[in-house]
Amino acid sequence: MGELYAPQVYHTDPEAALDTRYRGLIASKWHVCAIWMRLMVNYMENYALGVEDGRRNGAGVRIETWSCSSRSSQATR
Amino acid sequence: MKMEATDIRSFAIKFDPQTYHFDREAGEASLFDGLCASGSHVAAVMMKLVSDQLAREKIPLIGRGQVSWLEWYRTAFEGDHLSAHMTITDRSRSENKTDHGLIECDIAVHNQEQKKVMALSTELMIESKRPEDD
Repeated sequence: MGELYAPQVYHTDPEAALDTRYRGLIASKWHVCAIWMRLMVNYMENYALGVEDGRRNGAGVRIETWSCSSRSSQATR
Repeated sequence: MKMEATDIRSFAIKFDPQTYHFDREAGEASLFDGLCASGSHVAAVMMKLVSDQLAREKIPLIGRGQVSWLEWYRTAFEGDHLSAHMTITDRSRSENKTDHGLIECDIAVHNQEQKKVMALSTELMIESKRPEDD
């Protein structure tokens, strides 16, 4: 994700990332956003109708603030 | 940046597996009437466009700030060309750190018809010169 869309070293290079303020590889906030979408889809597939044919979708979502970095060692379920 | 079908599909399969994001026929049969990119994919493309421009201008982006709001306005389809325009609305030096400052910016993503696809307001953490260099 870092290499394709957020090419800062702290998103792409575990070694170089050690020398940044983050002291390690971290996920781009847009990677976190994408994972949030995946978790939403997983949820919708289980509990909502209309996911497959597009009757239900993410249009109109409004995002408010990220609060902290996601380290590469953290698990996001 | 051109939105290629293969990129739309691969992003969707990993992060947004709704059929209109990875199956053209399903996309054409859906409300969107075509294979369309995940909104998260559009956000990622925005970050790539911003990152490349900051790199060209040799502005070191060293971190994130808050994203105070983000909205999607239009669907991005395969074949669309997306561009990003960033307006810096404010800037400040970090209160307790001397090596960086924050810029507040409004970023808008448009398609090839100059229609707004997505916009957000965010802070970006930028490496700065030492105060004595000002």
